[in-house]
Amino acid sequence: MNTIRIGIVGFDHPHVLRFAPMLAAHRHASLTWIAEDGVNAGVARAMADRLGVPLVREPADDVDAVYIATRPSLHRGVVERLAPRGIHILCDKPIALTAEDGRAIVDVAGRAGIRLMVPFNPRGQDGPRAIKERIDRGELGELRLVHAVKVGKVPLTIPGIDASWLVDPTEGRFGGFGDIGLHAIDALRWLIGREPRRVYARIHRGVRPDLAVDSIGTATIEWDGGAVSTLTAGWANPDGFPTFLDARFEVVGSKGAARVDHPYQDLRVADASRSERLAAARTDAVWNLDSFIDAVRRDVEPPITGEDGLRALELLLACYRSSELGEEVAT
Amino acid sequence: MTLRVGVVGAGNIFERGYLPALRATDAVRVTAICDLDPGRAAAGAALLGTARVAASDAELFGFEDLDAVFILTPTHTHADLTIAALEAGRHVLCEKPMARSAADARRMAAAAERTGRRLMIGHARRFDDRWIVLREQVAAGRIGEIAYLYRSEHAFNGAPDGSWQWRDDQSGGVLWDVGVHVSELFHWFLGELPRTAFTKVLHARPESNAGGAPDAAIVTFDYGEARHAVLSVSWIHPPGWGPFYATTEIVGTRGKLESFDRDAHPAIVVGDRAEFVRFSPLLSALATTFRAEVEHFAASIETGAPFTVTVDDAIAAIDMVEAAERSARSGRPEAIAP
Repeated sequence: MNTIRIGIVGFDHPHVLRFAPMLAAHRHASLTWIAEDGVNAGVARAMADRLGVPLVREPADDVDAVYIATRPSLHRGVVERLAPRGIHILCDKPIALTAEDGRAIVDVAGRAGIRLMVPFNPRGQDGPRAIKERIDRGELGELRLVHAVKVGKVPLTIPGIDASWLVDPTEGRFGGFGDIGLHAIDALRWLIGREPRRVYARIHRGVRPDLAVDSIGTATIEWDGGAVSTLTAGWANPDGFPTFLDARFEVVGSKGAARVDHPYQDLRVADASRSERLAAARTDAVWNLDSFIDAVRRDVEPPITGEDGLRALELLLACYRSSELGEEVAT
Repeated sequence: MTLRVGVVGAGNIFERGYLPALRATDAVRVTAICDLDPGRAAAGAALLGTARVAASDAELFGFEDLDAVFILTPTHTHADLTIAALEAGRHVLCEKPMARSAADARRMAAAAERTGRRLMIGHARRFDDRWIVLREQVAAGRIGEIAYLYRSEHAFNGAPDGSWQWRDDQSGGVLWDVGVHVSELFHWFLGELPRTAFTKVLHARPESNAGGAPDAAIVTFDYGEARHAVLSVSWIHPPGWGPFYATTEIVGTRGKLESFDRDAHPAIVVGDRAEFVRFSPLLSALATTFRAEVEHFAASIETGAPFTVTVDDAIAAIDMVEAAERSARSGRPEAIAP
């Protein structure tokens, strides 16, 4: 398969604003249509017009793959409709809101024999990738401690898209800890290369008590092999903070340690009165789209599978379970 | 007035922290010094130029020309030495952690009450301008209500195998030795005690396995529905990482405060490995911080004014660390026992 035809299903996930033009411009993909008839139909139409593709109400069969950017409560229905038709799926995170739905998505994709990938940003960032290479080469020895921080601004401030589902207790469900932290939960599984055993977490609405969902949390996770990790995540960056997102990964092993701060590209221009962030393709987004398109074209397993997306979701759910119980829980 | 001071313990914290301060200030004059290692006491006396060497702590407490005693010994000895000094009629500045147990800390507080002598615990962070500035921002409401407070202090501990620092019964490991700093900072910034502590500790290095003292600890303090704090301390970072890498992050309803190790301007010499010229980037304000602590102690004794860090503050930090230690053993969140 030389060039794959891709459709975009839904326009709820903030990632779609970045992914849509990148898919349209991709040398191994052609964007066929955008399907959206919800609250973001207006912004979807503007994007479709800009990219010269039709806006449709329903996904059609004339594509090889889709990128699902609906709110997560709709993921399962979309996958159950499209996977049996042999359409490969890039499903944005979280894969689902419940483990049951996540499992159903992975199973239906498996039965249909399609490629299913969930995009996570740190996997495509140079700093975390450099750390991962050193871990895999044994340079850090046996892992002992891993500290992760993943924080951002409340996504309501993202211009041009209605992402209010993210702060809706039924549609977003997880709040800031889950929204931002899921990327780092996947990164912890990937970096450590083991499965979690137990987790203790405190997650609450303290930063933004005006929102109905949580805004910050910390999880302490113990992994097979004995490594202990911390993860703090949430909507901890005030609007005046210089960057939308911030992240840190620190890995301490028996032979060495490595750390990366702020792995995001940060292009900015300033004059006498203000500074402005410049839009540019982010390497992590490029990596995620390239990886998916490559997996479909070569008919190989994508580097982040549906199973990975499900495991990350299950660990996230365990964090929330611990926080509700006030106890450490098994994963 | 110059406060006349006897120093008990001429080890690491004396050498790195107090000695430069004592040589720089005229608020106190060291008139006597003792150490289990007489050579170390003699070296300290020579550098100070004003002190004679006592053969023992008991002899030192009996000297006539003393107003106060600095207890700069291993943690597990603090309680008995402090109580003996108070009972000998001396005011006491005791290095942190106040004691190896909350029960010992309360015995010390009771002895200060009973004898009418003043007792201060050397929580040097209270005199470090960086924490003072952060605390002022918090107290002024600059970032609103605090929802999250994080502090890490990550380092390689170069103490030799067998040192008291690796003995769980003597130091309590990194959880007590460093964790008590962080706990005190949390209590100072938040002005309240947490409900529970949940802790994971490691015994990763051979020294830690031999002595039983944990060499990494992560504690989550639960302050109720809208607030938590996380303490992360390590002695297992590699030597080249540099001593005392530290991070402070405070998130409130209206904003965020950050202080990173990279703000500490450590001087680095890179040979076959990176060497930090300063003892510690965290304590790059070492000389001014300990001098401020010592001068505050002397001034408060002279005027009778309360200490900026009270015995109750120090006990609160000990209670937090002791609950954290219980949690590491039980695997459950443990209540902070008053």
